[in-house]
Amino acid sequence: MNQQWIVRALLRIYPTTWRAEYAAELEDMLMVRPLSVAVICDVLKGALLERLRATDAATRTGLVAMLLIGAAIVPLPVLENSSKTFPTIVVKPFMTEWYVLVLVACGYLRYSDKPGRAAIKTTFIAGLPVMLAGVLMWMGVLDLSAREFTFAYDIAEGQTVSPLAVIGAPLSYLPQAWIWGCVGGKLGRRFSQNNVEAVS
Amino acid sequence: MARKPRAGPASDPELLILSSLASGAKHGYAIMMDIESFAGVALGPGTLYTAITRLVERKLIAPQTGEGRQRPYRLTAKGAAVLSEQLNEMRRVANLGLARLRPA
Repeated sequence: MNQQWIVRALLRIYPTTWRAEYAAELEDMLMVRPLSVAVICDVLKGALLERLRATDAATRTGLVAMLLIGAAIVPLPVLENSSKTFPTIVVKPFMTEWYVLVLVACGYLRYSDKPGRAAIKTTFIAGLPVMLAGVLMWMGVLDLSAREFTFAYDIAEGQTVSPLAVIGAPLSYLPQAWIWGCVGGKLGRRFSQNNVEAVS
Repeated sequence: MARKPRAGPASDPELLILSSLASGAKHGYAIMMDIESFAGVALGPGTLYTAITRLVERKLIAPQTGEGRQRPYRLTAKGAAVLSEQLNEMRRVANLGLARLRPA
């Protein structure tokens, strides 16, 4: 693992469009002197900032929601029993009116470019901590079956929680997210049409 | 070892880059060395190129074709105007602060 390998690995974190423009210059600058931890951290920070700037609003919203759900998943019950046959478990934050507003806002902001898909993307990213918990349960690393913090209902003695149900809980909300995103998109298109008519 | 710029408007990477380019077009490494010599601030390469990206997007600096892989950057007219405005504002605040510090 020589310096050039490390530099090229760091540069790969930057977005493709940014690399096309600046990667050659930055690579030459990084190869001039030996790399220090401070320089590596500085380049990593720059790469992550550029990645964030290159992401769209749906991804950024999803990341914020993901961090909130990820932080809440340990101390608070974020999963609860569903009243329907499918899915058997739902993600509580997704059931709130606030989250519906977030999805409508997502679709509103992306009204000209696939608003439903933007809302799906936000929900998928936000649900990653829950899906990760399900994967860890499946691998036997995590055991949520006896822990009340995860479920709002009493688990019958001997009953185990299905990891697939936990993995599927965020995914089962995707169609609903698409619908709310489309609602937001409709609102956005209607509002922009009104603006165009008012100006003309 | 790259040091984090000191806090304050005079340590703002974008302002430092504009000030450096005010004396003529330079490529990235030369900008970094110039800033270190006149401001005593060592900008990290990541910080430098993040700031350069912003300045190019805002059309305050512009890349030029250069020999090799290092492109020089030059200050645009808009960049010169913005730099002048910011430095004049800093001078006004600095003069006011110094005047207030002087014993009555």
